Amino acid sequence: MRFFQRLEKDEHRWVQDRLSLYLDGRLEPGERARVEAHLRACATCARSWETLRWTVQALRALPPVRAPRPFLVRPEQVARAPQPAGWFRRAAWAMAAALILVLGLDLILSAGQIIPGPAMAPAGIPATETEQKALRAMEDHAMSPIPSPAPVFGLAIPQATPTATQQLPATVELPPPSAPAPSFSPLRVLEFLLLLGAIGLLALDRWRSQRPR
Amino acid sequence: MASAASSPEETRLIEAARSGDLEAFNELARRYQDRLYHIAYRIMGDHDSAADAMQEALIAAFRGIRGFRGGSFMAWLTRIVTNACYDELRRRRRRPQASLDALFVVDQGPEVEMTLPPVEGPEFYAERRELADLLHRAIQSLPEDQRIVLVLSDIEGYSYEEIAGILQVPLGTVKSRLSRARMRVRDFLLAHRELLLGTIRLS
Repeated sequence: MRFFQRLEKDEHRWVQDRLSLYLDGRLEPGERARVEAHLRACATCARSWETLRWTVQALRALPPVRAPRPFLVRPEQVARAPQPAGWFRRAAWAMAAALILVLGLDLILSAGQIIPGPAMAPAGIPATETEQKALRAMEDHAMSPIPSPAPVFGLAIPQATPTATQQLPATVELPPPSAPAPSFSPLRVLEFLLLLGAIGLLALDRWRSQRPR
Repeated sequence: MASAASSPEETRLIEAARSGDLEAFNELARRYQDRLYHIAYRIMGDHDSAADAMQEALIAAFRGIRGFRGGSFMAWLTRIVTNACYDELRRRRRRPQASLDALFVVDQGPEVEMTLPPVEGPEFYAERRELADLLHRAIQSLPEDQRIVLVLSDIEGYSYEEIAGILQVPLGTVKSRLSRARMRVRDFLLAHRELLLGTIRLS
């Protein structure tokens, strides 16, 4: 008995949940027939349907509210139109400038070395311990103009805008130059990250300028 | 009803606005402002907030017009207006105002037979000002998400698909929000039926 009561209750709910779609003619034929059969048999749901339909008709007939005054955009309201997008672009340019500086530094350093730098060393070639020591020494030498991990940014950023300086540490996660990764020059990693950051910021800038809000 | 591809004249105005012609943009805004304002008013509930949202929306629309990629310009503007309304409502939430309707618990009460007058033509509301006010309050009592879908569907006449596009939500979300919103408005009216005496005959 309770099972049938429950089934009936489920059917009420099923129909109630579909009355809005039924009103808009958005039910599949099978569902529509099921709703219509239930509405013929159930006075409560039929009443609910009637009041719902009436409510929606009343909503649709609400008199339009006209704009009380003309809403126009004045030139001074949009005079600084490119501003909101400008921050990302400035940061992107700062990164690009930093990238050029680092590339230049990299070029100078690798030109100074007759033997290819550690980053150039093919990873597959076995190296004796002495050779590895030599390579590390060379790497340390190559890194010598950069005193410590953090000030690497300091090389490029003073030329950039102050806003970019705040942005950079969050965007660029630089492994310390002394990290034991002989096949990867930290400079290369930095170049890669700067390039990635600049592209990302330009994309963000474009997205922001095209987004309506 | 709400969607239509732009006419050649409108396309010309949009192109001009994209290249920074503010006059062209204002001409476009003028064409749609009544419909947009009605949307904003029904979502925000009062004229001051609706006007604020409209002004913000139009400025945002001009600044972002390069992001318009064809289709219905009105639908694109509607999206910006609803976004502005969302922002305004969010700001308002940060400084909450006591609202009796927000605290209102829907209670349909005992089943009462009502004779519902046929809703026909614009003159329906001529003698039923209080019903229009009650409906407006009912709309305001809805949660924001449901309110916006209801306004776009039953006030502005957008299709489910258009609303899904405007609000960037799945079609199923539009259907369920609209269904719940309509039910709640209906229940609100029934719970306030004493205010409807004279509008709806109770028997």
